Amino acid sequence: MISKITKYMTARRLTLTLILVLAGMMYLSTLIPQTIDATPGKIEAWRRAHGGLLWLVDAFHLHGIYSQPWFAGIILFAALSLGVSSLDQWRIARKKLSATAIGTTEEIAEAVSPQKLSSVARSRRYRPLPGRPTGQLKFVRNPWGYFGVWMLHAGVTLVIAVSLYVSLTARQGVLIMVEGEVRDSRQPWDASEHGTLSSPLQLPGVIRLDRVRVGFDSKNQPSDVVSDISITNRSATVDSFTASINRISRYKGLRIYHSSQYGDAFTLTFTDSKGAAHTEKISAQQPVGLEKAGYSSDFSVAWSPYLYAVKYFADADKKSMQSPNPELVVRMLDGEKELARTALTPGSAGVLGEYRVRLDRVEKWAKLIFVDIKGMPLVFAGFAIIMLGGLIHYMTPPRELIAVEQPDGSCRVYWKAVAFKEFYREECDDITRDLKRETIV
Amino acid sequence: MKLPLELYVSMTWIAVMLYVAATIANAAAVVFKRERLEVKSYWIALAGLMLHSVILVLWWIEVGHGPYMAPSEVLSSDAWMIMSCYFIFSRLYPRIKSTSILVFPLAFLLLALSQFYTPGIRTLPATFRSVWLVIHIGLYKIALATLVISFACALFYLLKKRRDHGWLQRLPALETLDVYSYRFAGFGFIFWTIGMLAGSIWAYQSWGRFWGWDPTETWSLITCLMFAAYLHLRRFFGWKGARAAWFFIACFVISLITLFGMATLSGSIHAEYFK
Repeated sequence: MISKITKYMTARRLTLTLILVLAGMMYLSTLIPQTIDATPGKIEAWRRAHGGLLWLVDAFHLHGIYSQPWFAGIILFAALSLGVSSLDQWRIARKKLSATAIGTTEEIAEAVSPQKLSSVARSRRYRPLPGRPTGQLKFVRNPWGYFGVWMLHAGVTLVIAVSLYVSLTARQGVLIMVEGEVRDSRQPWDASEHGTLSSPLQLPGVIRLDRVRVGFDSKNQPSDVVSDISITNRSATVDSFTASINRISRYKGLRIYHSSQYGDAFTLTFTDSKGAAHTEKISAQQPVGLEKAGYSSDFSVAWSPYLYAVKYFADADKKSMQSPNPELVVRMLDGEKELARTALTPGSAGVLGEYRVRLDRVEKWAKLIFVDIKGMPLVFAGFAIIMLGGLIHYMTPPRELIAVEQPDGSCRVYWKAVAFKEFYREECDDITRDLKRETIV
Repeated sequence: MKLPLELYVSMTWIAVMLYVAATIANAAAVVFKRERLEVKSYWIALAGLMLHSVILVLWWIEVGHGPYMAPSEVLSSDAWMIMSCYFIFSRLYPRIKSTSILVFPLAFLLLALSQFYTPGIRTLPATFRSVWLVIHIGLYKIALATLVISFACALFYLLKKRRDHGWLQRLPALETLDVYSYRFAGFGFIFWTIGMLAGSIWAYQSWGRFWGWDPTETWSLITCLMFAAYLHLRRFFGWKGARAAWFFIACFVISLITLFGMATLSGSIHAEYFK
C-alpha cells in the first residue's frame, strides 16, 4: 500500500501535471482581477465585460484564487508529492553514490595501472570512493552533486509547508500616526489582517509617535527615515525605541516596520460663508526633491459635497528640504474636474470655492507596521537549501571514473557524467588523453 | 567625479557604435568564413564592453544607486550583463562562441533602445537601499543573460535542422546546440529562482511580507514553473531536439513578458519604478 502511494506521489506525470496546473492557476489570476490587488471598481468593470463567465468565476471564487481552500489544497498536495519525492530522491542519491554498474558508462582506456589512474584522477579532482568491491575502483568529481536534486526538492517542500503555516498564523496591524499622537491599547488599528488560525492582533500597549526624522542626501532625496516611538505597557513601564526603513525594531515578539509612506500632515480649517468652521488633518507623501511635490489621495468630508486633494512642496522658497515653510496646494474637485485651488504656507489663509481655508499646523506623519510572524527562519532555511541544491545540481554534477581490474593487474577505465554528458565532453577527452599518454609511457 | 548627462549620452552612443561594428564584423566573419575577422569582432566587442563598464560605474557614482531605477539604466545594464556573461561563459565553454551572432546585435539594440528612454536621475526610495535588492536584480540579469545564450542555441538548432548549409554549417553540431540550450536553460532557471528568493527576503526585510502575489511576482513564479516543466520534460520525459527547442522558446518569451512586459503594463511595485 505504502509503495503504491509512494509510486503514485512520485510519478513524473503527476509532478508535471501539478507544475502545469499551478502555472495555469497563476496565469488565470492575471486574467481575472483579484481582490488582493484590484480596486472594487476594476473588478466591477471586469464583471460587466465578462457576463457570460460570471457563473464560473463565482462558483470557484476566482476573484480570490489565492485565498481559496481548493488552491491551498493543490499547494498542499504539491508539497506532499514533493515531500515523498524528496525521500525518494535521498534514496536514489545514496544509491547512485555507491553504484558500481558500468551500464551507461563509456569506456575510455584500457591497460591502465591503478597507480597511474589514481594520479590522473586526482589531478582532475576526481576523489576515490572507499568501500568498493574487490577488483573495482571508483573516483568521483563533485560527489555532493548526487544530493543536489534531493536538496532542491526538500527545500521547496520545506518552504511550501512553512509558508502555509505562516499564512495561517501570521497577523499584523498598521498605524498611521502624526507626531505626538497617542493610541490607546483598546483602539483599533488603521488596518489589520490575520491568518485563519490566529486571533486579531492587539495593540501592545499605549503607543505614542514621539518624532519623525527625515534625512536628505546631497541630491535632496530622502536617505534616512527614523521614527521615535514609545510604548507604555500595563505596568506603566515606558519603552522607547526607533523604527526605521529597512531596520526592523522588535518589541515583545512583534517586529515593527517603518513603511515607505511618510511625510507631512497639514491641519486645515475650512470656514464656510455662514461662519461654520471645520478642521481637517490631511497627510501627504514626502516630496523627493525641492521641485517635486508630495501628494495626498483624494478625500471627501461630511460637511461638503466635493472631493479634496492636496499636494505640497518641501519649501515655498525651494531652498531646503528641512524648511519649516512648506507650500501647500489645496484642490477642490467635482469628480475629476478641478473647481478651485489655493496655495498656502503655515499660518496663511486663502479662498477655495465657497470656503476660506487656513493652514494652522504642519506635523510629520509615518505609517508603522506591527507584525507577529513565526516560522520565517525555517522559510529562509528552505530558501538556502533550494539555492544550495540548485547550485550543486546545475553547476557541479558528479562525474565518475570507474576502473575494473583485469587479470593482468591493469585496469579498464570507464567515464560517466551523471547529467549533461555532452557538456563535459572536453573533460572526458582530456582524461582519456592523459590516461593513454600514461599508458604508453 | 561628475558625469554630465551629455557626456553620458555621448559615451553610450560610442559604446553602441562599437557593438554595431562588432556585430557587423562577427556576422561577416561567420558568413564569409573569415577567422581573423571573427577574432577582431571579439576584440571590438570587448572594447565596447570596457567602455560600457566605465559608463555604468561613472553613472552609478553620479546618481548614487545601481543601474536599475530608470528604463534607460535597466536596459543598459541588461545589455552589459548579456555581453559580460557571454564573454565569461564562452571562455568556460568555447562551443557557445557562435552565439555571438545573436548576443552582439541584442546588446547593441538594448543599449541603443536605452537611449530612447530619456536618461535622467531617478530617486531611490529608502526601501530600495538594501543589499538584497542588488542581489535580487543582479541575479535576474544573470538569468536573462544565460537564457539569451540558451535561446540562441535553441534558435540555431531549429535553423540548422531546417537547412544545414551556408553559414549554418559553421555552427556547432545539432546535438551540441541541443545540449547547450538545455544546460544554459538550467543555469537560467537556477539564477531566476535564487533571484526570486532574494527578492522575497528583501520584501520581508522592507515590508514584513515575503510574498504578496504582486503581478510581477506572480509572473516570475509562472516563468519559474514553466522552466521547471521544461527541465522535467527534458530529464524525465526524454524531450530533446526541435520539440524541446520550441518549448524552451515559449518559456523564453514568458520570461521576457515577466521582465519587460509586466514592468510596463502591470500596477506592481516593480512597474512603479520602471515607468
